[in-house]
Amino acid sequence: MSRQAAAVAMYAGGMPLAPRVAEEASRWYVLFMSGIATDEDKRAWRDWCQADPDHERAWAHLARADARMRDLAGKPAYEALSMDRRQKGRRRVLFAAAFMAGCIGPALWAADRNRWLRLSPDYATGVGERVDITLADGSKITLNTDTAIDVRFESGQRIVRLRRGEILVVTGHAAAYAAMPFRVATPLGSVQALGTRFSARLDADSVRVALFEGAVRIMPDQDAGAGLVLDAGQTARQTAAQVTATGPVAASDTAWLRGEIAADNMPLSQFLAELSRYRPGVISCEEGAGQLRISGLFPLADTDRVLAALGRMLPVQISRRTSYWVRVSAVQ
Amino acid sequence: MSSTDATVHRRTETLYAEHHSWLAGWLRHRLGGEDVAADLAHDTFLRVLTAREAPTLLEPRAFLATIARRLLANHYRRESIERAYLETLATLPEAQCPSPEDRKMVLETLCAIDRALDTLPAKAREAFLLSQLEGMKYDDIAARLGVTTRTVGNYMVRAVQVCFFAQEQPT
Repeated sequence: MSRQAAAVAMYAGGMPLAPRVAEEASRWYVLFMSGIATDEDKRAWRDWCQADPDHERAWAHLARADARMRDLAGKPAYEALSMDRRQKGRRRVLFAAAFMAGCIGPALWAADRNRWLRLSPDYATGVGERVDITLADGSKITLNTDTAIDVRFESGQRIVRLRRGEILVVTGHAAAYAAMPFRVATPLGSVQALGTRFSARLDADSVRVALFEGAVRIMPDQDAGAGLVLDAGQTARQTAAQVTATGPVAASDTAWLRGEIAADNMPLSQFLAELSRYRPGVISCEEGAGQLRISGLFPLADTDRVLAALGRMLPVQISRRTSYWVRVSAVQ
Repeated sequence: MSSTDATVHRRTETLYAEHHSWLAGWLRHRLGGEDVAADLAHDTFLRVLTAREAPTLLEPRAFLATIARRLLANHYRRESIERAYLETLATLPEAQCPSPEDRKMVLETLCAIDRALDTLPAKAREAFLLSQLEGMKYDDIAARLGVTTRTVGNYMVRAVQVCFFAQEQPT
C-alpha cells in the first residue's frame, strides 16, 4: 500500500472539523483511556470542552465512536483486524480457544473504561453556583445550584442525563441535529422535548417539570405508557411510576434563573429547605416555626442576608453554632 | 446535464463498450469466480463514472486495471477479515455469537476500521487494536510491542485521529 498519510480531511458529527481540534480531542481521549488523568486534567478537559462549540462537537463525536467500538470489542473483532494473527492463518483458531477464558475481560474493562465518564459528570455546579452552557446542537442549558448533567449525542438521540439538581433547557435547532430527538433523562424517567423551553428539577423521589414554551412528553421509568404530554405554561410532577399535572407555572419555577427564591405564602419549613439548596451546611427548623408563612422574592447571592431578613420579618430566632449549622426557632 | 457531463458520459459509454468484457475476463482470471468478477468489473466502471475527471485515456486498459487492482485488493482483504472473524466466532459459545444481520454490520465496520488504520505504522495499528478491541492497558501494550508507554500514547493519538475523525476516502 502506498497511500499517503498527509492532509486527510477531518469530520465530526457530519461536519468538517479543524485537524487541530481533532488532535486535541484525541489527546484528551487517550489521556483518559490511559488511566492516569488527574482531577486537574478533568477540570482542564471540561474547560476545553466549554471553550468552543467545535470542541464539544469533537468530544460528542468521540463519545459516539467510542460507544461503537465498545459494541464491537472482543476477541473475534481483534482477530479479524490484527495483522499478526491474520498472517498466521488457520493456526490462529487453536490459539483463539485458549483465549476463551478471557471472555469476561472485555466486559470488566468496558466498565472501567467508562468510569471517568460515569463518575465525573460532564457539567456540574457547586452549591450556590449557576452556570449557562451551549451544546453542539445550539441547545442552551442553565444549571442551577448543586446540579450535575451528562450530555450524550449518540445513537441518533440527544440525551441530557440529569444526575441531580435543576436545569432549564432551551432546545437548539442546528441543522445537523434536527432529526435527533432531545430527551432529558433522570433516574425516574424521561422528558422528551418537542421543540421547546422547559425546566426539570430532580428531587429525592420525584421530578418537577415546568414547561414555558412548546410541548414535552413526560415518561415515567416504570410505565412509559403512562406518559403525559404537557401544554405550555403547565407543570407536572413525575415519579418513577406516574405523572401528575400540578397546575400552571409558578413564580418559583423561574425565580432561580434570576438568582432569586420566590415564595408565595410558602411554609417557612419549605422556604428553608429551598434556601439550603443554595447554601453549604444544614439549616434546621423547629416545628413551630416551620408552619409560619412567608412571601416575597429573596436574592440567593447572599443567603446570610436572607436569614437575617427572616429574623426581622417573622417572629423567629436564628442561631448559629457554626456557619454550616443554622437553627431557626420560634420566638417564645 | 451540462455539455461537459454529456462528454464525460459518452466517453464512459465508449470505454464500457470497448473494454468491459476484457476487464471481466481479466478479473475472472485472477479470482477464478464468475459472480465476484462481474461485480468488481461493475464497480470498476462505477468508479470511472463517478470520477468527475473522466479522462481521455491513452491506455484505457491499464487505467481500468489499476482501479480493478485496488478493488481486488480490497476484496481480498475483506475476505480475509471475514474469514478470521467467522473462524474466531466459531470457537465461541453460541450465546455469545451475534445474529447474521449484526455480523454483517460488524464486518462493515471492521472493514472501515481496517481501511482507516491503513495509513499507520504496523505497531501503531496493533496498539490501537489491542487497546480498543482487546481492552489491554497501555503499559501491557508497551511491554508486548517493546516500546515505552509514552510511545503507545502517541500511537493512540494518531490512530484515534485517523480512525474516528478522518473521513473515509473512496478507494
